[in-house]
Amino acid sequence: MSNGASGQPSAALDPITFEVLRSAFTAICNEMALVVAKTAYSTPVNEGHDFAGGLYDAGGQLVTQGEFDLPAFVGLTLLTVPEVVRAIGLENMEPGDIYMINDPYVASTHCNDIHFVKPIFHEGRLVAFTSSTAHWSDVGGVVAGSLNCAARTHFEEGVRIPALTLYKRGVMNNDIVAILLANMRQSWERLGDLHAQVAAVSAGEERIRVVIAKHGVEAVLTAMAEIQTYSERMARAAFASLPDGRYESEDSVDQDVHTGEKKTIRLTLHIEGDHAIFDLTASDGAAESGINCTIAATTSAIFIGLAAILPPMPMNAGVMRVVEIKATRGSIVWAQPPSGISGLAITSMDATTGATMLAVGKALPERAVGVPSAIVNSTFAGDDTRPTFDAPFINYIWAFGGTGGTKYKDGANNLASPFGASSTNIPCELQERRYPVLFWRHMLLNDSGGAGRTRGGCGLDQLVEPRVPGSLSNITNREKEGPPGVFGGGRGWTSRLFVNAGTESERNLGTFAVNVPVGPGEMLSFWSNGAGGYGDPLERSAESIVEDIRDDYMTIGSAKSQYGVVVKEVDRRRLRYEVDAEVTETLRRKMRAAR
Amino acid sequence: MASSSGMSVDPITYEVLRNAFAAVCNEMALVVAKTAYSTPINEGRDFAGTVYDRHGKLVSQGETDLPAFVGLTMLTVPEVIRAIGLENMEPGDIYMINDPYVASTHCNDIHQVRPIFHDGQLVAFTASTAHWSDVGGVAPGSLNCRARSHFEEGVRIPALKIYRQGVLNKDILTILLANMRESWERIGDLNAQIAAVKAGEARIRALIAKHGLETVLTAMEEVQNHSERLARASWVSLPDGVYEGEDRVDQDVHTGEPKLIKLKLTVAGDHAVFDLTESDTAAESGINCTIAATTSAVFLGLASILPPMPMNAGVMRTVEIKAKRGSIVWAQPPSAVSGLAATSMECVIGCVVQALSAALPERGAATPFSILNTVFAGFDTRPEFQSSFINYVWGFGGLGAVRSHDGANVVGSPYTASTQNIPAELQERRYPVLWRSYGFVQDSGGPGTTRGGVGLIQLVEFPYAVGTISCIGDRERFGPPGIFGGEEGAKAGLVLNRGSENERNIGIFSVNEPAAVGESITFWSAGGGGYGDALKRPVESVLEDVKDEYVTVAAARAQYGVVVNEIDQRALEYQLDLPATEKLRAELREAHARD
Repeated sequence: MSNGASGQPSAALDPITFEVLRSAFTAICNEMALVVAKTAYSTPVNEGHDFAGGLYDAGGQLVTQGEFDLPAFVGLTLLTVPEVVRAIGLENMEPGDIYMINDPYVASTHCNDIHFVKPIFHEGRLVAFTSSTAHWSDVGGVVAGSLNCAARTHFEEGVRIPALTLYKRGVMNNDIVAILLANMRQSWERLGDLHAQVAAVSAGEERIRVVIAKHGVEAVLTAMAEIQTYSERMARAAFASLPDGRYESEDSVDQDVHTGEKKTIRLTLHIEGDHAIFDLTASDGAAESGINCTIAATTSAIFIGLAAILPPMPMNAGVMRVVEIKATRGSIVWAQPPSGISGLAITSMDATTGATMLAVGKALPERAVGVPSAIVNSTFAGDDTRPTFDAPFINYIWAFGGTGGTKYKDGANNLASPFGASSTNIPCELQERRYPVLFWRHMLLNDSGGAGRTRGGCGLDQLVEPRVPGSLSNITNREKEGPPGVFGGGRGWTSRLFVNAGTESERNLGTFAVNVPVGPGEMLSFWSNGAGGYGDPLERSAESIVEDIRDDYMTIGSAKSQYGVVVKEVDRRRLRYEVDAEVTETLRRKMRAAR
Repeated sequence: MASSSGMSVDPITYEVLRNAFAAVCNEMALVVAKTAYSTPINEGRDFAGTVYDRHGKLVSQGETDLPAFVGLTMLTVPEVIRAIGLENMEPGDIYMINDPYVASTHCNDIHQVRPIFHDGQLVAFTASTAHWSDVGGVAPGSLNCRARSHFEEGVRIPALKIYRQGVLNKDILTILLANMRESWERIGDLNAQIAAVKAGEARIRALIAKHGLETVLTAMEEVQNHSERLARASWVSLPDGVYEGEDRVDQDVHTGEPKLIKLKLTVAGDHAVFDLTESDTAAESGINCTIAATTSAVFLGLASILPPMPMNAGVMRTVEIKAKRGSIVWAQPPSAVSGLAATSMECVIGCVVQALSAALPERGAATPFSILNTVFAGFDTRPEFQSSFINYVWGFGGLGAVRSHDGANVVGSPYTASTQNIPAELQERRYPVLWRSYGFVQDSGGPGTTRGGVGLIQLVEFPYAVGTISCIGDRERFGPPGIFGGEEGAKAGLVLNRGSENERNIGIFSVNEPAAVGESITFWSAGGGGYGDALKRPVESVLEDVKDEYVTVAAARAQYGVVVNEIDQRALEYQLDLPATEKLRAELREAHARD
């Protein structure tokens, strides 16, 4: 294997050693993730797996990410260490240092996502960096949980941390920790999160040292450069295999919370030979509320969309060499301080991912997919008055939803949005133990998947009762328009958040809520989206429809109205249904004609 | 003069040093006034400079310091010592703190503390306190009366080392600047305070060089003993007994309920107990008082009966303050506090003045107005500016009447008695505002034998900028009470676009109300309470008030029972109708008696 475009000193690396090292690097990232999962105190981190571990070369270029990392971090981690290098200066880095950053405007999503970076020295020479990213449950601001969709500026969203030196030559700057803890809720949890991430980057360092000891520093450095070149080659090949052209798409955020206006993200994807340009310059200007995307999160969104067409490979700086992202500063996809951004993940970032998937799908219909749900991201916070607790709490209540239909398969039911695809569901039982909540229902929402030749996955119907008075905040999207389908597929259902649904005291909180008081005796209904369908629903086979009905994914009524398939219930308990083939054929013909 | 250490200082040297300590404080204040960037500091003089002995006990304050800091500065350095530890203090260190719950008013008031070493021995501290224009949070200017917790109010800084052995902890500065608005101003404020404590140190060193260390240390101790003796003598001169005071904040912004503060002052021999334990529990909004601010409020009230003397730790030895943790006068984290100065703190002062007035009626005073702290912030569109701005627009008002005098018109409230009016012309130059009017509010002074001072009405227009208005004041619902039969002063208010179609009464508890180009605010402060029966006010004084336009002809009749006929207003010719006055006053007295 040779060194291509990287410009690193050339040293021959046999293919076997290369593969061993490539896999070792991934294993290191996975181990860092595991350390965080096992030791962090924030429930979204230890149970929800909202984290990442990264390995970088001596120049700060991303080499490898973990296999269980949150996709939302896949692009932005490319920017984190370069920003740390720019701010701190390579010349000021010393063994034992650990840097910290969460500044959204240069290198992060929202302030909750905190990055730790450790420079690794070998015989006095800086040879690599390890990093750990994790979503702290709270970083201050108006809303407990720090996800404040009504924020007009970052001053309402929590502590913004520019790149700084948390540890200098192994000594912690205690005053930094003091100031952070004084401005974040549940400071005991924050300290646990901080130590978990410090442990993770240190564990990563240990492993790199072992790899260096075994294979020699030059081989490791060469492998780091070569992995990037390898990913670059694969990405170039992928783009070369796509027809050159210009593919347009758009997706939107329901509303700027303060103006009520819809915010649209417009993408033009240019594929030219072996590289691609993602041009977002036609997107809307920044919103007045906390739904703006940072350039780091926009980068992640594009990489997430790209992953749908690239073969499995390390997503690293090599891929970046073949992709150009164009955006306008101050637009909704490139927020400038002090624009509010804390709600970006489920809004503008998700919509950028949606637009990318749609454009990529046009270039490669074979791998196209209906747009997935936006998760319902709620935080319920207050004082837990249960005798054994008697402490303030912040409970993240996620409602996952459907993923889009693809050419060959129906979308999956009840999974996290693409940006959070690796995050795991936090079990109801665990939440009930840790927090004063009671889950009355957690089930699939039938008929919610967008109709199509392949159907969008179903959303979730979740019913939760607070056991103490507290405040509820929520951010989601796709309440006004469900996730779009592709190639004639229908939209998935819209998302909703209600209190006391179906009773006289029913209240529609809307999907953008900030600090709404709720308490015992009230029932919170979270309905997430079904995803977009793929292809004409009238082409969906009647057998698949019957199967959907048996599975309770679909009702007989919508089988008829959306798919033109007439099904009769024979014995529901025994799951026996019959298709009336003749009537179906007539109906489908009529529906086609009506178009 | 002998100190407890057995050392003695001759009376002349003692006086020289006592005055020198005050001069050191005054010089620190001057340094801050001349160099800080925040307009409330450099023009408004919202600052303090203080000298402490080696144990952290307050020795002397500046003569132009903000009264609001008179008590709390006693707590600042002891808290710094507790948090940092005397054993960890080194020459060249500077400590920083603004933590409201242990040692400050609200987060805007930032304290820098310098330990002073002589021959390796810690001998004294100097400190500088100043109100930074912004420390982050939801409202530009950081005065957020709607805040439910300090997380919505700005950066909370526990005691930390901003300088260690002369080296700046840059990372701390980086975090602070990233989380406060107008960061260029904040650096200026920080450096001004650093310069102040260093200037103070240089002066203390010069004193030591001239008079010798032991003499200076003894004098520091003796200054406290001196104040203690004077304070004890004052208490002895008051009749023993229990005196009560009661005042209330208009409303807890979130519940609409008034919040009551109750004081029971017990004077017993040569000391006094200020018992505030009957006060209401903490409010849900940003109007809670910190124990440090409560201490200041008690000391402020005290100043009206004590002879002129250094307010220091010696005075504290004669006073006990009782309060309940978690009440409105002793906020616990995370209770919001940013609006305390205009609300609960003023009411504590009101209670203290009432109780002391009962104990010593000849020095008694009616309750003064509460300051209107209005902040206009936004983007200055004038070509030569083109930047964001935060403009503090204060509304001064009327003081309470005293036995011998009417209350003063339009001055700072007691806690801000040293602040200066920021000239309209200067504000118009620095900020995109235009003053349309600035005048006394006729008839606003509380009627009494001596009349309360009148309030101020201002009409400020925004011709060049789009922005937001926030305001925290009090006495919109309840005017400042009068005393000994005197009546309450007129109430405060704030209206947007008064008299136009777009008139909006946003009130004095407002946060981030939008204001467009060409809009205006009209806001008026309360008048002070009156002293004694208004029907006993000399008719000549009422006539003079009419001529001075403090009182209208109608109010002279209705409130004072004085019948004045206007002859020629421009020539200030009025005629008293004495027989009609006598008759009217008799009728009014009778009517009062019936009530």
